[in-house]
Amino acid sequence: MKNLAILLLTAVLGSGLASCTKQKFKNASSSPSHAPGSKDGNDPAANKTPDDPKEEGMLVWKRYRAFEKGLMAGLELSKDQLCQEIETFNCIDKVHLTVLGGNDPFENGQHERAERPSVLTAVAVSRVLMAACSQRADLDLQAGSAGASVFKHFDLGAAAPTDAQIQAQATELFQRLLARDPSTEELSAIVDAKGNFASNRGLAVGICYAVGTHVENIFI
Amino acid sequence: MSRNKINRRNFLKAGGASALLGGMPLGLNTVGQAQDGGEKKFCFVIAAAGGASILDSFMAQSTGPTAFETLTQIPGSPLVAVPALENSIQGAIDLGNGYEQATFLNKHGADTLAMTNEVTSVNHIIAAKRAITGDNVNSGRTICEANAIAHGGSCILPNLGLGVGGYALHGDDDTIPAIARAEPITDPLMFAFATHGFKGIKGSLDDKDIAAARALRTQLESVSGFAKEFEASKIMDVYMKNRDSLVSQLEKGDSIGKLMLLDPATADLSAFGTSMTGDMQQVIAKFPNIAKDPYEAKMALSFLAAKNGMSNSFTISPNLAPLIEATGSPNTPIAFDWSHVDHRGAQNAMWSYVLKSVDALIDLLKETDIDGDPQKGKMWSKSMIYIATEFGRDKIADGGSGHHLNNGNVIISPMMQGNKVFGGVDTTTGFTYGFNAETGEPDQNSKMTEKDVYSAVAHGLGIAFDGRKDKPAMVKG
Repeated sequence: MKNLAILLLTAVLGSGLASCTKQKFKNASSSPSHAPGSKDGNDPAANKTPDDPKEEGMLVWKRYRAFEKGLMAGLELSKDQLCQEIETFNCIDKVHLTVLGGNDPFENGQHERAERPSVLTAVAVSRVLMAACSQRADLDLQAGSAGASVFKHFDLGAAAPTDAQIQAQATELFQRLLARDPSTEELSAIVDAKGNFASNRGLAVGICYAVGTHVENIFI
Repeated sequence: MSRNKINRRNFLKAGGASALLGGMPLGLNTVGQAQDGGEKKFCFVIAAAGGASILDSFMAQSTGPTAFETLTQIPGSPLVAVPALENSIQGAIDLGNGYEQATFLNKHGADTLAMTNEVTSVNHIIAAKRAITGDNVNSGRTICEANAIAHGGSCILPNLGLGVGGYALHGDDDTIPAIARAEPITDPLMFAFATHGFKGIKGSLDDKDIAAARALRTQLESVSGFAKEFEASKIMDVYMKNRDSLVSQLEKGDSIGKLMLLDPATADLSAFGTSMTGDMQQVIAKFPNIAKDPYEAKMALSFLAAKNGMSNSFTISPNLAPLIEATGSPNTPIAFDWSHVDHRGAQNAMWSYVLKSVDALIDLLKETDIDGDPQKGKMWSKSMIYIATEFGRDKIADGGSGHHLNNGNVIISPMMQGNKVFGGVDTTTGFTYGFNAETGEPDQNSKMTEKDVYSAVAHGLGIAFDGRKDKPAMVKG
């Protein structure tokens, strides 16, 4: 009972330690008097509108939960099927949480989320997509052509697909992951790339990976 | 006092600004080579979160309001040690690891100094950030960001963030290269996975197919209406440059195999085409509890990242949760801030907890060559350990303590004048006072601030910046 009381006290004091002055901190950090580029300096950039839609403001980083939900829905995978490091540790909630835009205040004392993707965000995105696309391909391969849900436009284990089959598969993946149809140019690029993959499965997973790691699936 | 010229500063700023959009390693731009010829130096900020009082460690007093009944005098040294006390959490759980401060000083006292200060905030988050930015004395750069820029030119991921609270925040200088920002780490045991885009994933494409898929993505993005519409977006541009330049470099360096700390006894790594680090025996010898103590895991990962040339700057905090087992807990709830409830118990146990780990880290650094090259010398010869903390505590000997601006810091490095105390303590009040930066003589009329502490660390590391408050008395050479 005492242990429980101590843990509760820890949680309360720990969160209070961070939250009681959060607003003050934000105020303090929003006006770094020494930072180059600040409006009281001579940097011409200081006169630029900070939320120029083409530069910064209109693009929003699709953080961990939206990213996860989109892939789960698009590839028809459960949370546990999506990505588990060594089939044990959840990629989104545990291993790659911070670089995917989350934070862990309780165990790690990370009270603030990163403002923008970090250097390693692209690595985490790559791992999640590779795991998810591979998982979906293997499930569809097991299910056979009649039962496949995503990779159903050509046989993953048989002869080389036709261009029309590849375009149909690519369109399916664009719709599922980017919520739009591919352009003619995009379809041509995908068809042109077919010879670069060693197998049908490689081609299918490769298209899935290319579309899923596309910046259009990272920013909205 | 500044020894740096404005044009040099502006040059560095310009280099930083030009590198902001690029994710290239620092060694590929001018910034990383601008100071000390880009020589690699290591900076470990050990974030003693919660308010570590210097009066409960190497500047402890035998008289006055903070007096201890027993202190250990270190022969030939002004530094003193507080014995490991019998502590508990609320009388219910044994507290502390029993590590003696005297053990630390006997091993590393020659490289250890204490300097006094009086900081400017008793708010945890604000004070923590000021402790690592020197209250923005260096244009808002944290000391680790500055060290990554100055001495991390050869490192692909120079700055690792393993801190809590305000120590987990980046600095306020938006002109620095993105790669100099601390990379936030969720789980040190599995951080290795975060350094490779596909290895260790069952059913993953092989290298050739991955290259084809990435080339296809580049093709798709080049004709994407979305990418064209937002091609001026900085956030997207930085992301793409980091992705296209750094991911493959990380993968080629096989960091995943060098940093893996998962125990194969509990995780079948071979089934996933990977394995634990080849340095596991070395780190386990010093950090035997990495599987259950996140703080030890953070220290072990930092050493491995430094040893393997990936990083040179680290901010590391003990976790805020106690590691309660049947035998007790080596650390307190909410780290040093447990002092609100039990000042002596919290300070004594947490200083032992922190110093034991720093002792182990120094041992590893002393036995390991820089970049594995004996010609470059041991890692310790180019290492700086700054035990940062937010503020001090009320000057008391019993009960719980509140926050207090008045305090001091511990710095350990062969590049500093060790075995010294810079400043002093008014034994009637328990307040610390400053010193003469040129001579090192105590000066009851002076006070050192966060700016001075940051400047001392930067001076020792050879990090130049306009406005640095030099401390020639503290730095060797």
